[in-house]
Amino acid sequence: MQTLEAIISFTFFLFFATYMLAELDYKKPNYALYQYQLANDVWRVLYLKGALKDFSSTATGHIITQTEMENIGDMTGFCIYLQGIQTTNCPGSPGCSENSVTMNKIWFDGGIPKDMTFTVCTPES
Amino acid sequence: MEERVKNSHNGFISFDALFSILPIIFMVSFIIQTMALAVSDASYTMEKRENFNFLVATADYLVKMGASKTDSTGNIIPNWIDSGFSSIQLDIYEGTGKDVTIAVSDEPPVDDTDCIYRLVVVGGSKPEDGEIKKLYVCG
Repeated sequence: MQTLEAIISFTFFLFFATYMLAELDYKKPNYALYQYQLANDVWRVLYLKGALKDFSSTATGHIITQTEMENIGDMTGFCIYLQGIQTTNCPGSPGCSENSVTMNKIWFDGGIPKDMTFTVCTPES
Repeated sequence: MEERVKNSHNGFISFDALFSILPIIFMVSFIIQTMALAVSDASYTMEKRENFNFLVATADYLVKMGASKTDSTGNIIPNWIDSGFSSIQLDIYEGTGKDVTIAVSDEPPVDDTDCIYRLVVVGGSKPEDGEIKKLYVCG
């Protein structure tokens, strides 16, 4: 009987100890704001470089947008998706990892304001 | 005979106490060590988190105001910067007491500290003429 009690106590203690040790895995810094800022940087840099000016109206404009997106993708490893015009620097990519930021941006298509879904993410490895 | 039984009884109590106390001592020492580890880990994590938040705030300040260029009307243009940062580093040190390294480069300029980067356009008389670069902030 005492052996049984000892086994039960030891088992309970093992569970308790495991739980305590598992709780030690504290949350790491919250990267959400930083990721959002980086995604906004990508949009902002594309805008400043004039890559969003004529990308839907002319073929040259589209190529400029694509080139700048590939340039940023090479520097950062990000996949960028402009879903309003189905443009990306990661064609055929398996998709995004958990670190994905999507935002709605307003851009001017020939003077007409339009809504675009803009996604920046780290591709799945 | 009665004395012998009494001695035997005392011995039994001592062993019983020994086998009860030993696990308790083990458990108490384990809990104390776990608590010490938890406190140490929490303190380290908090320090790292605080430093990371400081770097994020500093980089945001640089990109949106501190290092940004202005247009002809004096308006600040976020994410368009010049590449001279020595006076800004000094300002940040005087304001916060923290030493940060700011650099435009492809790789982190300092190896043994935490670094974050932001994307910026550097130089040029117009943003279109500038180059897309990484602005590293380390500290």
